[in-house]
Amino acid sequence: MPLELCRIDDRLIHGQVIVGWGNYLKPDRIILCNDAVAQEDWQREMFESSGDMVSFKLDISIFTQGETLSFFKQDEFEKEKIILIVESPREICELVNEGAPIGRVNVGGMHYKSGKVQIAPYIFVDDEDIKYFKMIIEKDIKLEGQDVPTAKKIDITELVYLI
Amino acid sequence: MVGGILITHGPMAQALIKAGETILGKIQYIYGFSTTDLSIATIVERIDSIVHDEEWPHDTLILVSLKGGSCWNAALTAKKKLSNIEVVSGINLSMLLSFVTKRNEEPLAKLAQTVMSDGIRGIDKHE
Repeated sequence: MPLELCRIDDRLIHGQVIVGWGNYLKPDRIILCNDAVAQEDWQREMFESSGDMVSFKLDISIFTQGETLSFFKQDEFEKEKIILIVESPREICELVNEGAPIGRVNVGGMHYKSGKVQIAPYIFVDDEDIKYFKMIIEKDIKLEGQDVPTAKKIDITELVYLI
Repeated sequence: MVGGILITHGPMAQALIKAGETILGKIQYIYGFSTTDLSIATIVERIDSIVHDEEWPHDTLILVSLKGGSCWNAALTAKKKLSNIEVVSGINLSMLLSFVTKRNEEPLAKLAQTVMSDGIRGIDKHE
C-alpha cells in the first residue's frame, strides 16, 4: 500500500508525530529514516521508546537510507500502513532518486536556525531547502505544510516560488 | 538539594512553577523551558550551562510533560551528554510539589522514583 504519510520533521519522532498523527492514522509502523540516529544506540532507544505512548500495536523502525530503500522492496511494505519520517527535503530527493514510492510530502516542522527564513509558522528554510523543495516539486510530488492532523494544509509549492 | 528543570510543551513549565509557588512560596533552583519557544539544541545548551553554574546543586532532576515528545528527547539528550541527571516524564502539580518538598532529603535516583510514585498517587478517580 502507498505510504500513509511521508513527513519532513527536524524533530523526527516527537509528540505531534506519535500522539497526533499516530492516533489519527493508526499505522502499523513508523519508519524514522536517518543515518545518524540509526548509528547511535542511545538515540535509537530514545526514539523507539515513544512507541509506549500509543495503545495500539505499533512498530518503530530506525533505518538508514539504505535500509529504508530495502524495506520498500519487502513484502511488509505492501501489507502495512506506514508513516515515514525524514529530517529534511534533501532526504526526500535522495530517496525518490533511488526509486522510493513517494507521491506526496507532508512538511511538519522545519524549525528556526540561523540563516533560515520563515515561510510558514513552523517552516523555516535556507537556500539548500529551497533547492530541494523545487526538485521535489519538479518530480510532480505534492508538498503540503501541516503540523498536526486537525490543522489546515498549507500549499508549499506556491510559497517556494515566491521567495 | 537537587536542582529541577522542567521541559514542557507550550507555557506549561512556567505555569506549573507559578502554580507550585502559590502553594509552597518561591521555589529556588528551578528552570522551565518550552519546546514550543526553543529548539531542542538550544534547550540542551541552556541545561548544559545551568548545571555547570557553580551555584547550581550537584544533581539535577529533569521533569518533562510527555514521554516520546520533543521535551523527552531534549531531556534524554542532556542526560546522555551531562552527568548527575535523571529524567521523569508525565509532570503534574503533585509531582512538582513532591519534588520541591523532598529534594533536600533524598538522593537523586531515589528522588526520581519518589516523584514518580507521588505523581501516580495523586491521580485518582473519585468513587
